[in-house]
Amino acid sequence: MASADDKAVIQAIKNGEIDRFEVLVKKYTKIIQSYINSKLFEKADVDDLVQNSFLSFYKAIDRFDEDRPVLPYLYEIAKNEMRMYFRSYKTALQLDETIQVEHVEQDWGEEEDVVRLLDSLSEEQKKALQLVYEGYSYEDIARRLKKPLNTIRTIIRRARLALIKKIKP
Amino acid sequence: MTKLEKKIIRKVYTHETKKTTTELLGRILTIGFVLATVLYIGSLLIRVLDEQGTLEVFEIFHEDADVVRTYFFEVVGILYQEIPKHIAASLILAVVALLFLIVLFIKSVHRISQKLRALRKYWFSSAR
Repeated sequence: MASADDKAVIQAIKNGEIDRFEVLVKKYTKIIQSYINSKLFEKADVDDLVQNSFLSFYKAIDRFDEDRPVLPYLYEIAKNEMRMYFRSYKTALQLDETIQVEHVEQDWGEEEDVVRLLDSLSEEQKKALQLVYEGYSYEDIARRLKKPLNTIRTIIRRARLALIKKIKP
Repeated sequence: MTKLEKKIIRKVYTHETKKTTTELLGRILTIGFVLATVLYIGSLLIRVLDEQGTLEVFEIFHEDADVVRTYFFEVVGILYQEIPKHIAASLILAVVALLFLIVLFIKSVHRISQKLRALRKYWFSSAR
């Protein structure tokens, strides 16, 4: 059961009193922060994940049943955020390491080779990778290519895996 | 409030500002479009009735109440026979759609106005 306070706050938010969301933020931020902090090695990303978790909770609040307790739901959202984070982080890390090793061990750094490698990818993958290396975030890329965030993650992961396979058959 | 809490609140308000603006504009544009359709079909119907001379039957309302009472159903019958049915049906549909949209809008007015009040308070106060 949700506490009486939380229930009233959620009902108020559903009725448009969005400033009441501050109550939930003040109440649960530290708990969610320490939860994510305990699971993450990269401490710099903790704050981002906490922010995303609360934003996701806010986006879902219209569908949220106010009789349910808030904290387990927030934990679930935080878990999902971390899952997505690990998925993208893992692939990004692999690629960086591989490319660096290849750079040192092999002299394949000719521009033509890189272009040839990139040409083996689909147009969509090329575009997405190009935007990644220009420094755009996944969210920005999703917006620019007009595709859902998870699709962009998949496209980039597949492109990276394809490149890794070509470099290191 | 900590820095992180402030960041969360800012993200939420940014998201809500976009959402509320889109919702409000969407509703206003939809109602405006349907209202314009109602006016267009209404004017078309009146023009057709005017060209046919059907509108002259309404002159009976200048007469005494007794005369109006006697010929009222006859006037309605003439109007029913002469009115272009497809235009009248379109007008009724458009009016029903307009009323439906207005009722929906009125039902959500309280929620939207609360949101707008909160958004104004946040973006225009120095506290953030």
